[in-house]
Amino acid sequence: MKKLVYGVFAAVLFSSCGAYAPSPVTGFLFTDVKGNAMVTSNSLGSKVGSAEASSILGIIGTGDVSVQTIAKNANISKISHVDYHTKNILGIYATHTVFVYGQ
Amino acid sequence: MANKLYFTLFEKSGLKPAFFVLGLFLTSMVGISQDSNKYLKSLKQENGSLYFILPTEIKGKSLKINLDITLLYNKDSVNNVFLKFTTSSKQPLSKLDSVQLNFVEKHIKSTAHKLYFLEKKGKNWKSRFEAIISFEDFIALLKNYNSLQSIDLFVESEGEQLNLEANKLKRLIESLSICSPIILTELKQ
Repeated sequence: MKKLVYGVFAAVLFSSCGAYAPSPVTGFLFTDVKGNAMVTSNSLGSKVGSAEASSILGIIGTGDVSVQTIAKNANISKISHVDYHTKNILGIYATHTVFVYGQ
Repeated sequence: MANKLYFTLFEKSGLKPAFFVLGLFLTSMVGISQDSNKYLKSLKQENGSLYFILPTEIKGKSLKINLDITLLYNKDSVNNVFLKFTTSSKQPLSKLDSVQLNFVEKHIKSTAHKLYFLEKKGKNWKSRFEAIISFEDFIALLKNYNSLQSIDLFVESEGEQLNLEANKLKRLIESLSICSPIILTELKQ
């Protein structure tokens, strides 16, 4: 039991300085959260684009999830809304995916 | 029942409790990470749905392609499916003539094409294209993804016509294996 407590404590410690992707709620063992980042007055269109940024152990972080880049890649000129999906696994691997919708 | 199973697994594993719990957790994470969210995003709309198969990487000899697929399905109108892809290659690909999906027994060819942009990125050229396939061809792709052999791009580079082949399709086929049953069930195909 003592070792289990130590294990959980170590996981908390490592996750706090490990891989992290922004999320409205925090789960130090596991996070799988979807949310909305932005809504505009434009109507829902037929186009969608996405991009992903990832982090390994909080040491290596890569990716371009800027709305501008995603809109350019999906040929979206009028954005209706922006969603995201965040995943964290034990602070070892984290991903942040952004979805841009529009026309 | 589940408790008994876990207890038997724990006893047989011979692991310390902390490692057993961690192992169990990591195993469950593998299952979770295989879910459809990783490959497909769908959004209900008026008279239908918007389906987006997230970008996957496919490769050829001198080519790397990042492909995503969008379908805005409307019950009352003709539905086209958009193949949008970024190519990374040594030569500047300025025009797309067609995209051909090669199956064991048939081919699917795209109809309309558009270049979004062409830019230099380090030593390579990055092009972003759009190609359209019909709804019927898309359904055929979803039903026959297992027999997809290669994807041919017929492009133009500096006035020269090129045929570039991508035949490393493992990730695309994995993505389609998850997305296909979901989309086909929702569209009642």
